[in-house]
Amino acid sequence: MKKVLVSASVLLVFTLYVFAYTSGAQNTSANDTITQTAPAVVAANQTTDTPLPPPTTPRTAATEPVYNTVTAPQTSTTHVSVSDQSAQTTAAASTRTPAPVPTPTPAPTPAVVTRKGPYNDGTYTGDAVDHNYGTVQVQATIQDGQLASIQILQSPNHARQSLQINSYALPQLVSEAIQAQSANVDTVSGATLTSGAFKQSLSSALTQAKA
Amino acid sequence: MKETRLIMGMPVSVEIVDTQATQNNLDTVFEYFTYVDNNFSKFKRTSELTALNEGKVTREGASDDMKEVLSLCEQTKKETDGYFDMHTPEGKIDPTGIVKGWAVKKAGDILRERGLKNFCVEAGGDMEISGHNKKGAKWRVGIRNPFGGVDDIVKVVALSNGGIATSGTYVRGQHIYNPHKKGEFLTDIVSLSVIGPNVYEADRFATAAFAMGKDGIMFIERLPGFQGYQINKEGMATMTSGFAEYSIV
Repeated sequence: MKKVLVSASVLLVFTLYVFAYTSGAQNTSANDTITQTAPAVVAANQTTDTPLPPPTTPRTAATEPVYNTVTAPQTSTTHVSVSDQSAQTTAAASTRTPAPVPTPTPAPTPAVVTRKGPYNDGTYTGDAVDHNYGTVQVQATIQDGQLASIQILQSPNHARQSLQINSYALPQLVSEAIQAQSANVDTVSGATLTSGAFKQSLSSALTQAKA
Repeated sequence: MKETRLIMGMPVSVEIVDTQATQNNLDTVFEYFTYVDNNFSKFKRTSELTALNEGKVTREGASDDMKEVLSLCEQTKKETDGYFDMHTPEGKIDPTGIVKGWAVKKAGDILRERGLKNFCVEAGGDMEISGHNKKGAKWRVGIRNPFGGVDDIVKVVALSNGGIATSGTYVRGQHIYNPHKKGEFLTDIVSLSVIGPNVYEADRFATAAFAMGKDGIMFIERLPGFQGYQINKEGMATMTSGFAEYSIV
């Protein structure tokens, strides 16, 4: 019974995690730039300094993208108690709205209990579950009574395993010293030419025109 | 066929590769630019823009094109957090940061309406590009060296459908200021070239991002569908992460 509960809860957590990833995926796919729109409308007062999104300092060479390993959130949004005999497998977010918790400590437990969370430490392999697109199986690692990490043993989309699931590439600005190029081109893009040249030329003509 | 004329105080070039192109196609485009110049020039005493700034015409009584341009200016101001602003420090309206790109895009539309598919329309260094060049390849666009002569380039990009616009200070001198810090001129960045889905979009964001100084390139990086190449006064270039897909040297 306990194994079923653990498997079911692990699977639920995984499903929610995948859901959270896919709903965030349009912002974090590896080949796209971050799709933040420009900051919100600024009042007409132009003397107000409105901060831009913090810019990344241009790097002198392309750096490695940052990968985050898969870890479960420390704040317990899943209030599943394995030892609870009434088998309350709360579907984590669906029936209870997670309250903002300033510290990740769980609810007070009886003094005898030595673990810090609702689970027993160890590594647990969930059932292999057939999904529309294939088979899903996860393995959960519990440390200090809390869900510490999830390994995806089987997933429908093999490209989305482990590191890539929670990885995103930071925008990488690339720098270089400009170099004169001699290639043939159809046209040249540059700052508007003629106004300055025109004014300069006109100015010199007028200067000459003065007696 | 290709022709260049001096309109709006700058060279305007139209090149059409399609074999069915006619001189009439070229003439129509140049006539359109002449109309834009007559209507939007801040240097012409008889332009609608001058009339608007002198109070002789109200915004409500202005032409459809003027209303459209003013509306686009306001939209761009919101989207760029005020870094594009058509109001000058003297309180006049100056939409030229948008008019050029807007006009070049419309000129391209004139050619598209006539069934032409392979062309390059350019005004003052901003261009609208469609299809392929006369060699059947993507249009090769050089980015001008801010420190060199007219034909000196430092980068080449290949485009087939889209627009590219460059904002810079090296020719006209300090004419772009930071609207959030009035009176403070920008000196760090000398050139910012932006590639976008069309030249109107590229131009308005190039103008706004240029006013952001060295932060401008990050603004372009965060804009989906746009790439940028920024050059500072030391000759160091910073490009967005997807720019390399366009550059060939």
